[in-house]
Amino acid sequence: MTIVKFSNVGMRYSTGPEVLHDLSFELQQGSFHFLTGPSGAGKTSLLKLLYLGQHPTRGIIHMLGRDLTAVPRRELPMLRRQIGIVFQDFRLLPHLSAFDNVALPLRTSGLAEKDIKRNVTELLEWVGIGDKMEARPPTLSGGEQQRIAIARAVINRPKLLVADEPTGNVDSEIGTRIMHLFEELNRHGTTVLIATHDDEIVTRFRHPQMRLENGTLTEGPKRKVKAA
Amino acid sequence: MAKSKLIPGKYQYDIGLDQGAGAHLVAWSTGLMVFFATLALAVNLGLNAVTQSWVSGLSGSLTVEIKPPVTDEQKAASAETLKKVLWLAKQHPAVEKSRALTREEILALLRPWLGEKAPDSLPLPAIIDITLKKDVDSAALIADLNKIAPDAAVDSHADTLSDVKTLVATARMFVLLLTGVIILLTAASIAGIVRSKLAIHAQEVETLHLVGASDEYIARQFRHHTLKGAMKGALGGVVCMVLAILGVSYMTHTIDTAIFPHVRLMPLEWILIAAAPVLAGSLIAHFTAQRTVMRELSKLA
Ligand SMILES: Nc1ncnc2c1ncn2[C@@H]1O[C@H](COP(=O)(O)OP(=O)(O)OP(=O)(O)O)[C@@H](O)[C@H]1O
Ligand SMILES: [Mg+2]
Repeated sequence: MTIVKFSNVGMRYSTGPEVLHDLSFELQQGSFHFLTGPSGAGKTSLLKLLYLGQHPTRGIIHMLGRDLTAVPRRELPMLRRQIGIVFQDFRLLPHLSAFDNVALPLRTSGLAEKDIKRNVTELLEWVGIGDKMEARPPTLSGGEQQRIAIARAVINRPKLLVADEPTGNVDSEIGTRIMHLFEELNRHGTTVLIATHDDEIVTRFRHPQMRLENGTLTEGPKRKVKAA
Repeated sequence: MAKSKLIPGKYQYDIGLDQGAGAHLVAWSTGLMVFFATLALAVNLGLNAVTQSWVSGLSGSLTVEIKPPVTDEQKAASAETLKKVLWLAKQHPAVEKSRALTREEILALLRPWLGEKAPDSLPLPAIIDITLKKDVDSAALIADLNKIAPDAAVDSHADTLSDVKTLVATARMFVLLLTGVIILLTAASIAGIVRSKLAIHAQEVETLHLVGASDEYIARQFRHHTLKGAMKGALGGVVCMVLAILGVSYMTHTIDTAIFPHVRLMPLEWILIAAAPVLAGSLIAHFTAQRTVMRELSKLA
């Protein structure tokens, strides 16, 4: 099943120059890709399109079987709840504890508090934040914040997971742990796309690459990027 | 809405709505609105009571004035007319009681024009005060009086009465209008506060949207926060108003009977009267916040 389908997609920020040009590719359910490319190539911009944080300026995007141009605003939350996001700058809510940040996607979808407590506690312990669940993000290290951001992205077992430099602030042991977490999700059917500069991760975990240069896809089957 | 794990039952906002300079603005504007709106309501009630006593005092009476006689001939005629008027008043079914004013009373009425020392020889008009029975039409009586005493002037105070009524009606309209303006201004300022809070927290709002929050989920937090501030402010406004009324009535010993002349309120009723503005203020704040947030969020991509 096709989870994501881009057809001749271009994107610019307001009145700036086009930062992504003519992107056409598909991501199949259960696929796992690295998104690589030099700084400024447009990796974060592409992920924004994928997590519905930005509209394309041209072309058509299909997500989870829906043509995005035809999705009314009130149905966007339902679509977004099936997409897990790890932002490059984490974007944790500073007034909420680590626990409440991770619980957020479950609360917005209306899960019962007792289930939330069990799930969140378990996951935070797994990423090694079990003893700091009540701490607020500004009091935590970059690596700890990153792990909270990752926990928030995977807590409701999304159909699509997009992660922007998810191992950028952690040591290689935790980086490996995080990659195992993503692979575990992937084995249960989540489609994964990880933007990274980390060559060691890319070579160690043998997943196909999509490579962006100057806003254009230069690697990976251009028309169709199939499941590995 | 996130419930804190540490303090069960206490609301915790996903967004830092309690922080920042504007945290108490909603309370202040709602408090001021409630204070002034209640004040306007009290003034309105007071005006109502005052007119009522004036109107019932004036409309239940007639004054018949017989021109001051100059010649002896006129004196006789005047005395005759006075007698006829008094006789008619005594017989008439519409009249409760009637009475000719004494020379002293008439002099007292004329003092502003004549000064303290009116000469004894000054010819004075005769004035008859007629009190009507309750709810009778004075038209027939006035017609009869005009027939038997064509020279006498009959004043039913209709002109004064209608002047007073127009004046009070205008004043009450104005007070009402003022209350409306106060409410509109408060709603506008609450909408402005909510909009600026949305702008300040735009990034957090975007994050909430991206992790799947609906507009309603986000609006709930702004609504709850605004309602909390509005209730605090409205309560403060009513307390200030009650203190002001108590203070004024303590100093003048009159206010409460002037405003509520025939109403003796039970404590429960006082509580209800105080609760109404709090409720109204909170509802206005609540719906303004809801409408503003939903409209602003719908503008986002
Ligand atoms: N919010 C924005 N407004 C305007 N231009 C932007 C914005 N974000 C990114 N850009 C521009 O878009 C281009 C691509 O940026 P993007 O962040 O997607 O690159 P990237 O591949 O993620 O880089 P990095 O590896 O450094 O994170 C850059 O030229 C950048 O200047
Ligand atoms: Mg980037």
